[in-house]
Parts: sequence; structure tokens; C-alpha cells
Amino acid sequence: MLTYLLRRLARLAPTLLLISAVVFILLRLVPGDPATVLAGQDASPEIVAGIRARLGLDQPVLVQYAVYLKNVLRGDLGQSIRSKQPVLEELAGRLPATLLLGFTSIALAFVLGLALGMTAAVRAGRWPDVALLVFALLGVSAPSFWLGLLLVLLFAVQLGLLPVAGSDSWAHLVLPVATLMPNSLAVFARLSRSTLLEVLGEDFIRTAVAKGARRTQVLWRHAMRNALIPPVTVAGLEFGRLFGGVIAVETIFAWPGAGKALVDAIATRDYPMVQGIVLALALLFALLNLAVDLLNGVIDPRARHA
Amino acid sequence: MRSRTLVFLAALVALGGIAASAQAQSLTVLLPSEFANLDPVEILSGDQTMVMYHVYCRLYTFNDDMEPTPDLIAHESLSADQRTWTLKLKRGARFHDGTAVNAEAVKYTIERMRRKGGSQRVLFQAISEIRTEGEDTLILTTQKPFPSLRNSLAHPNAGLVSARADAALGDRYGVQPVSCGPYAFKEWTRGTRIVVVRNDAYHGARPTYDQIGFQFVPEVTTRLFMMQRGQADIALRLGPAEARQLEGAKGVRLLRIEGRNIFYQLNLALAPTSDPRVRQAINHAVDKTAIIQRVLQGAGAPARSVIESMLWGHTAVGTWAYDPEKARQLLREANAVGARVVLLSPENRYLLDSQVSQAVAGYLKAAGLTVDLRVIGDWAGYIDAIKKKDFNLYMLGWGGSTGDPDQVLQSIFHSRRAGALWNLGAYVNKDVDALIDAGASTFDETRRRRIYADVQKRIFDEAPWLFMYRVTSFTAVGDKVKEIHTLQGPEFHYVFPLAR
Repeated sequence: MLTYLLRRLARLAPTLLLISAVVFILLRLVPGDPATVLAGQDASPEIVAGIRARLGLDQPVLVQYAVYLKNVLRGDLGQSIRSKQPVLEELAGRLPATLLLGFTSIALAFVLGLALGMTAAVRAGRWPDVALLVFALLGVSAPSFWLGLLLVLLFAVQLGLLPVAGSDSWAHLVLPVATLMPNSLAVFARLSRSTLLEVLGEDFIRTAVAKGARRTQVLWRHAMRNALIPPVTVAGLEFGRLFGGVIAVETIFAWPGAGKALVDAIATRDYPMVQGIVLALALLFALLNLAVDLLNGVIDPRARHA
Repeated sequence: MRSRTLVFLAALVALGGIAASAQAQSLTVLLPSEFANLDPVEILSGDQTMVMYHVYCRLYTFNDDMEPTPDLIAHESLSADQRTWTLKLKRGARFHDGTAVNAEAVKYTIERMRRKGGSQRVLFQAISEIRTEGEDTLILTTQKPFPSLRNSLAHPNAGLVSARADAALGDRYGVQPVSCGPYAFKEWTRGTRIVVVRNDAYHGARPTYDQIGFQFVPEVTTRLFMMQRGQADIALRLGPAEARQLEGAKGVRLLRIEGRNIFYQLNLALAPTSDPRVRQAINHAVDKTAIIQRVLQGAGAPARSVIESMLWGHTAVGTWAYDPEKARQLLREANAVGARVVLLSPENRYLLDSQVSQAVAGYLKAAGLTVDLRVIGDWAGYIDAIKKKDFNLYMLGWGGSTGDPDQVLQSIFHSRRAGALWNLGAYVNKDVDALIDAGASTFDETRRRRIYADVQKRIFDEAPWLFMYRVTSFTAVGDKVKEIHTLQGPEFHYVFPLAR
């Protein structure tokens, strides 16, 4: 197990290196440069050139990348061009809010999705199953910027039950999570339904039933354990998709996360910030998928030897 | 028993009163965007300015008509050659860290701006020499007579910096600024809000509120909802649709603000817009009133000059009448029927900007031009695109943050800047140059007004812009706000009384 873990961790390094290189080069290919944004509208070309030199942007891209890489290896992600604060510090101020939003949404989506999927599977073809299919369709298709505003209008403005936006209390978390979650919830529900249906048709289930095992025992001990593997695997990938949706949700609810910070950094060509946020999210995504693989090993011993 | 009940009731009422007054003492202001720092050497946005106005103090400040009035100045005098200003500072003003606001501090602020090479150094460009005499006297010499020096010194980016705090904080100064405004910086929770607290040692009138929280809420609908729910006291930059929702709402009043002058700069160095007849045709081809009514939903008024009413020296020269037949005829005369024009437009920079550009493209097509409309979604990319100078028209808005016409005329119309930002349309007119230079160094207000009236008329007739409109923006203000001052044009807001 330990060797497996170490091997997987070692494989992370080239992935992150590749991501950092792609982001670094892509950013510099996009038109617009931070020196012009910083210099403002009355700047002469000399002033802009001076800022470019100060930021090291006058060097060849490869030299810039080498310097960046050397600093990253020493744990220094650089300084935000706009705020002049260390990127690591900016990340520390932003990432926790995104993680809280993301983890809460995915955890709730997973648990609720599984419960809904199970209910639908054991009542396949009857009304709870049809209701789930309709709900899943809506959940997958509802865009978060639309759903978010609708939820605010109903629960915050009309009913006055929850705050409109902000991040000061747990109550502020409810609507952003309710906006971000349905998409993943629908995915988990549909996936667990179809997997469970498939598992319930397997020979070992028929054997268990024939042996006279109780229905709940068959469902929980035999069927669920096998039906869990695909949703757990997908959970890792869902995180990636979820971070895409986080930007709209953070904007609507004025949630102080990394998604909004990333958009602002791209708009102002704050290269170190963009690189820092993307690298942190990539690392997180890779670690989560590693955790998912390890979890699969626990659920299904065959996976450990695969 | 009865007296005990009465005491209890009285206590309840008193407590209620204290609670209500405690609540009344803090304000929540919703800003559409978060900015990276509050260092005056950096570029400013309207949102940044609102916070800076409360934290920083300056030698002069703007009154409600955007005229510079003394704030920290006790006495000013100008030498006979109109180049040397002797400014005597009021005594007793202190920075939030307790150090004295004196002549040396002003000198430090100006020199710091130059040393750091920030985008706002242009404010002090005219100053050639800074000297101090004793604790309170500052002597500023300008290269040439410079009548708008007070305007530059009243600008939000001319905020005074505490040398001690600057030395101690280094790069952190921008995220925890120390100045001498009516409110002192308390904290900045990234992505959430900036909190400032009343400066009890403020040199001017006592600030009204204990605390102001500037909360960042990028989504305009969310700002509207928060105002409707009473979760905020001021919401900046609402659009016409949100303003309609708040009309007649209890406990909320709407401020209608005449914001930026929106126009398309035409390229005088590139055919077909190099031909004055084509530029006139473009101005006649577009129905601005219809665009204001239908696209902007009434949130604007037709532009009448290159200098709009929020700036001193404005003259309403006129408007280019919508006359599609005349436009077609002018294009025929210029042999430009079917000619291709490149129209660049930003998106989400100004109110409904890309939608307006689509309407303009439609009108130009109807007049007989072939339009290549390019909408560029992010501002940095847009600047990059317009700098390539392969456009015939590009959209721009100008608010005039010094309150003086010199800034806009120098930047957009002086031939010194031809081909550079923001005279990318390469407008060159030596007579206009001479008038701009004369206006910049004329102290006699009547003469200066005459010069600027002449400049505005000449530029207007040459049609270097497609003149569009002054855009209206809306600020929602709750009942709790007793006092709010707004400077039209650049849309600066502040909630404290001016020094008296």
C-alpha cells in the first residue's frame, strides 16, 4: 500500500510540471500584458517598458519559466503583480472559502445522490424512479447563475429565511451550496441508480437471495458495496467540474473564494496569481483523485492489485 | 411593583435606543468590484476611490460641484510669474499613526509617487520643485503657470502618505494604508470587505458613523436584492433595470448620476475614416436617441461636446442630428459606399456596451458601410487590440477625474499623443494644440473658459469621434444614510461632510 502511495505521489510531479508549463506559456500567448494594465492610461512607452523590466517580463519566456520553477521548488509562488502581496498569502485568504463550498457541496451531493439513486433502483419503473429521472434531468441542465438567482429571490428576498449574499455565518453557506450541488447530485443519483440496478441483476445477488438472506442485508452488504465503486470514482472527477461552476456561484453570492480571484487575475493579467491558483487547484484535484483511488482500494480489494 | 415595571420598561426602551443608535452608527456599502490595493500610486477605479476618499486626506478636496476647495490648506499665495505656489498648511492634523501632517509629509508623498513610477504620477507632472519652509509651509514650483494644480492636488490619488507607516509596512502599505482621512483603515478580508473606523482625531467635521464596511458584491442583481432586504445601506452602480425595481421602494432612494461621456474614437489615419465626410456621415447615421431609449432603457443623454457638463469649462456645442439620407449622401460624395470599417467594442466595461456597439454597427450598415464588428471581452485584451491601430472606430468612456478639462484634452486631442493612448485615432490640429497649451497655463477664468469653448467647437466640427451619450448610473441609498456626496462624471461618492 505504501509503495503504491509513494509511486502515485511520485507520478504527481511530472503532471504538475506539465500543468505549470502549459499555464505559463498560455498566459504569455494571450494578448494584453500586465505592464500596460498597471501603467494606466497616461503612461508613456518608457514607463511601460520600465514596469516590464521590473516584473522581469522583458526576459525570454524560457528564462522567465526557469526562474519561476526555481522559486516554486523553494516554496515561493511569487508576488501578485496587482496587490504586491505573496501569492501564497493571497491563496491562503481565498482557497479555504472555495474548499468549504466545494467539499460541502460534493459531500451532500454524494450522500443525497446515493440515497435517491438507491430509492429509485429498488423501486425501478415506479413513480419514485420516474421522479428521480425528471429531477436528474433538471439538475444536470439548470445553469448555476440562473438557479442561484432564483433561489435567492425565493428564500432570501421573498421568504426572508436566509441572507442574500456574503460569508459571515453558516446560514450564508446554504444558498451557495444549494446552487452548486444539484448538478453533481443528479450525476450521483443517476449513476448509483444504474449501477445498483446492474448489480442487483448479478448472480451473486441471486445466490444471496436464494440462501435466504434478508432483503436489507442483500442490499447493504452485497449490492451497495459493489455499487459504490463507480460513484466514488466519479466523485474525484466531479470535483474538477464543480470548480468550474464555482466561479458563477462565488460571483452571485459574493463568496470570497479562489474562483472569483482567478477570473480577476486573468482579467488584469496578474500572471503569478493565475499560475498560483491554477497550480493549487491542479494539486488539489490530483490529490483528491489519489484519495479516491485509495478509497476504492478499501471498498474493493481487487482494485489494490489492479 | 408598578414602579419596578416602569423601570424595567424604561430600561428596555433605553436599551432599544442604544441598540438602534449602535446600528445606526455603522454603514454597509456595496461595491461592484474588489481592487488589489489602496496605494495612491496605482491606477484607480471608481470603487477604489470611494474607499480612498474616506481613508486618505489631501491638501484640497472637491466640493459638490467638483471644484477644488482647501482642506488642509490654511493659506495659499501665488508668485507674480504664476509659477510658485506658497501653501501654508493648517496645524494639528495627524495621520492615523499619530505622526504630524506637515509640509515634509506632503513633500514625501509627491516624491514617493515619482520614485515608485506609478500610473498616477501624471498628477504631479507639472511640479518641477518642492521645498519646505519650517513645519507648515510648502513651496511648489511648476514648469509653466499651471492653473489646475489645485485640481491635481484634490484628486483621490493625491492622498497623503504617512512616511513612518510607509517605511514600516513596505509592500504591505497598499493593503493596510495609513493616511489622515475621516476614517482609518481597520481590516481587509480578501474577497469580502474592507472595514474603516471613525478617525476621532480627524481635522475636519466629525465623521458621522463609527464604522463603514465596504463589501464586494460583483453581481448587480445581488446588490439589488441586498438593498431590497435591507442588508446594505448604499449600493453602487446599478443599471436601469435594477433602478426600476427600486423605484418607490420603502426606505430606499435612488441617486441618478451623470457618469462617463461615451464615444467612439475614429481613426483619422486610416481610410475611410480619414475622410472628414465619412466621419460626418457616421455621426449622422446613428440614432443616439433611439439607442438611449431602447438599448440603454433611458439611462443616458446625448453627448454635446468632448468635455461634458461635469467638467469645468464645458460648452454644449450641439448634437449631430440623426439624418440617414444625409449620411448616405456624404458617403457617396466621399466615394465610400460599401467601404469596410472595423469597429472595436469592449464588453461589460460600460453599461450595455457591446449591445450599443451592435446597434451602431446596424446603423452604419444601413447607411451603406460594410462593418466588421469585433467585441473583445476583457479589458487588457481590448487595450492590446486598440493599440494595433487597425480600427476605424473604438468605444471609450471618459469621466474626467480631476474636474478640469486639461486632463481630457491633453490625453485625447494633443498631437503630442497622436498615435499613442488615448489619441490612438491620431487627431492632429496645430491650432487646437496651441489652444490646449494656452488653456493649460491661463489663470484668468473668463479667458480660459473662452479658450475651451473655442477648442470644443473646433473639435466638434472635425468629428474625430462618433459622439454618443453621457451614461446614467444609479446608486441606491438607504434611509440610514444621512449625508452622501456624489461627483458626477467619475462617480466618486463619499459620506462625510467637507472640512469647514
